[in-house]
Amino acid sequence: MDYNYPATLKASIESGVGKVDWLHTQQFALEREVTKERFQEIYQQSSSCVLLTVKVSYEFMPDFTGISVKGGVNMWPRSDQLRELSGTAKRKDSVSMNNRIYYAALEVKKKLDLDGVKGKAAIDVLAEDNAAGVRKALNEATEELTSLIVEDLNKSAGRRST
Amino acid sequence: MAKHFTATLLFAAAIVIAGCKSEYRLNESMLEHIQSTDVIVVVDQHEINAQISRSNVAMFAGGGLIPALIDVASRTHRPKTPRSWLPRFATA
Repeated sequence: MDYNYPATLKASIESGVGKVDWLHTQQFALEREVTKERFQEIYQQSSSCVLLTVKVSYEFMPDFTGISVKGGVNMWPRSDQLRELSGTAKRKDSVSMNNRIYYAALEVKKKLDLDGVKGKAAIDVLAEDNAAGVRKALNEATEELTSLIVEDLNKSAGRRST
Repeated sequence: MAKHFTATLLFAAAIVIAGCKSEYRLNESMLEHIQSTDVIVVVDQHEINAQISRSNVAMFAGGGLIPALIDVASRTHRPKTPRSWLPRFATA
């Protein structure tokens, strides 16, 4: 399947989350693997007040009749004021999960257009036309996931829309 | 008797803790201090995976160590989806 999903996802997040005005987003970066050490490095190199991470995973349903796209969204305070306000200023481990000021686990499920075919037979159908059906479903699910993230971020800030 | 009571209490506490799902929320004073945000998008997959039907014993039992161990054992012995089906769905 000739398809660059990470680039598609990043563009969607950039377009959606970039419009959340109260975040004042600056840079959007794509990481393919984040260990705790790498995250510590990113955290230290950033110059922003807040670091927002969106970790996405995607998979077929067990019977291959649909796909699921999951997003784990976390927000860490970086500035001294925010660390003070969130009560994390004195903690040595600045990237500890306990320091997050926002957390959301969101999921979007999409049915694939298969006319009742399941399992291995479904895979054969899905492989046709360079897996156009899978790409379409992934694109739609990603757009929906971005909308959910934006909606939840605004809800957490007590705002109805951007 | 007291020992049994303590053990039961600890087990009940473990179940409650395992079942919790916390969400951290922002407050107004924090919002005022968010003047810039860097966003990191993380995707560590290189292809679309297949979901395996998971054992949900722990969830239905309300959490805890023993149901979690049953889940782990169940997942370990469950047949994996043939990986040979999937390379066609590489996503870079």
